[in-house]
Amino acid sequence: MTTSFYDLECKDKKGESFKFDQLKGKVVLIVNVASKCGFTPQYKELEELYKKYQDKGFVILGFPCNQFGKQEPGSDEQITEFCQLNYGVTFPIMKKIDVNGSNADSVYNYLKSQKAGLLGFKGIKWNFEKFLVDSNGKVVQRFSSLTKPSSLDQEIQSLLSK
Amino acid sequence: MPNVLSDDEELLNGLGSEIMKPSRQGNHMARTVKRWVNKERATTADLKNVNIDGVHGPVNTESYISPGQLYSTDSGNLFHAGRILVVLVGLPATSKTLLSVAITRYTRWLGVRTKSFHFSEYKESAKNIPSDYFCVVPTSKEGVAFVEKLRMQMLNDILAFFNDLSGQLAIYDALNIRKIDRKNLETTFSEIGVKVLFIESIVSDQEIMNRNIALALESNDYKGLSTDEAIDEYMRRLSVNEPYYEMMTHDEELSYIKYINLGKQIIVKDNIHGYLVNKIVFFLMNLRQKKGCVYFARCGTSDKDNYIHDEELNEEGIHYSQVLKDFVLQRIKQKRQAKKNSDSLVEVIDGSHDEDLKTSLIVWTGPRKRTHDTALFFSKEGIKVQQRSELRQLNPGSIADLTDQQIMDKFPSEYKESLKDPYHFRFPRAESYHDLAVRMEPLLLEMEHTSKDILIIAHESTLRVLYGYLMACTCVELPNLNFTRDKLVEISFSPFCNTVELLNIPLTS
Repeated sequence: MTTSFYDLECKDKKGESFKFDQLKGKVVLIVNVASKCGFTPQYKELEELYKKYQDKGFVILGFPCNQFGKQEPGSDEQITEFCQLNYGVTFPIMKKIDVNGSNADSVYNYLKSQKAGLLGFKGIKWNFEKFLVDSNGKVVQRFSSLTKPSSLDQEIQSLLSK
Repeated sequence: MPNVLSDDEELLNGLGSEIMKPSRQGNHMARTVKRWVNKERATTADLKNVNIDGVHGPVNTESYISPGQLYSTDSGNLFHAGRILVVLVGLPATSKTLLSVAITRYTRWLGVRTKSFHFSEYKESAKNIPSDYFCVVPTSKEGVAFVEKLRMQMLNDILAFFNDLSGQLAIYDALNIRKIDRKNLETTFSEIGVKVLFIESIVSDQEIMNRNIALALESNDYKGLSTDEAIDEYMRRLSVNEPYYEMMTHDEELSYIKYINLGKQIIVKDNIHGYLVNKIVFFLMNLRQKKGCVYFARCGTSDKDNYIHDEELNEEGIHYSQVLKDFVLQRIKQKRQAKKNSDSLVEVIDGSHDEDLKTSLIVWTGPRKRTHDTALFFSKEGIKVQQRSELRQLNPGSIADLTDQQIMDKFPSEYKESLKDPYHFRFPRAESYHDLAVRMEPLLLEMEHTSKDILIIAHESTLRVLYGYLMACTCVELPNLNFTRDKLVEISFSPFCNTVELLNIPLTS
């Protein structure tokens, strides 16, 4: 089975289908997020990037996941409320998923197969790991939790100008 | 025959002046104390007895003098700098220990009494370690008490180093990521007249991050965990501390340097002043992560082994050159292959950056024919060979090409003096090892700057100085180091210490 990025599908926070073919021609940043993580303040910079480039064809998708340190324990409703109230998040937050293991979401299975992460491991190592996908659906970069969203500005800008 | 003045006579009359009558009053030119305080008798040091450097060795010997030291004082403080505390700032795995050890090595070389104090070492020797000890703000009562106890131990040891051991530069190696912690250090040490310099290490480059994390995972903190588990644990610790990290800013009104991505960028706040502090800044500008090794080899032989004539290699010397080239290239290839196959993640990462030997090996030689010609076979392989004037051998001056017996006959009093202090003694029109060390400092900084494998083919005198710096030898040990033609010396780097291996060059084949 050969999959393209645009064949993927996941559920949004309301449980409705979100098909990735609507992302064609857009630059996409995909982040596994958590509400009680040391890196949670990265929401602020993610939102800044989103506001800055949204009109130019840039999309951020946040995937809540509770697999790292139990740092995303809430329900989908609680997660959405947390993001909006604390960080003014306006980019789409999907339904809570697993990103590693046998129950891992197909989106993350695809992403992990395209790019290895920290120290060459495929598995997602912690919350707020990031995948950058270009406007042709190619996963061009993978960044660890340590990478601050503001440092991605240049990369995003150059992908948008292609 | 001019009179040879004794030390005391020379001091009384001043260097280079006409001899004056002892009864003359008001001689302001005379030095009132001897240049070197409490000289220590020379002892033999053999390369084979030591394979780890001495950068963590004690500095509390009263008579301790460093190879690059220009002078000594009763207080132990040099460069009119007073006492300095360097405080490292940064999250886990941002090369803080690497920085502290490198600064220790360099400043000790200059003669500064320097010691690093590593939080991780204090934790290693502690008992009943609570599970949240790694948090800058532990959640448990036991954790808070533990961290506070270790901090007090470190502070007390630093104070004792300054007050009881005449220490001049202490390096405090811990996270120090909160403003309140930094303010407290500044206040505590300012009160006793110690200048505090903060060095913040920041890593945002993914490649450097990978390597640093791999290094961190090899520490005792992660023993017993699989690599996957260790990375998870590392990320958990980082996650806990990240919210407390307050990057240094102008508003704190402290002296600081930001060292970013292992020296790719350095930001120096404009209130940094003082000769020694600026020397540290200059050193940091030259410091880079090392991926290769440094190799030392003697040059090939010539017919007469004569200093005065710049001789060419003889047949034996040419054969040696060929064998040396083959051996070095084989060793480097072997080592890189071993890295790729290694169990150690650090080695795998380093091995994955393997490059063509033509671009990743550099050969330095002295300016004399024998050293440069020994490297000709490397040139033929397309490897860059550079003649370095800093690698000019120690100038023997008046004793050039004399045997020990001839020196004794011709310069009996000088010979006797030279045995007392071989490192600092200077024969007529000659250089001392100390002179050699001082003029080689730019080359040491350049070695710190490069990340390639380096082969240095030079005279024994210059190899002693280079080895002495990298392995943190004392000036007593340095003149007695032996470098023979059948051995290739390989020095490997790691953040905590350098290690040396002696490799047999197969000359008989």
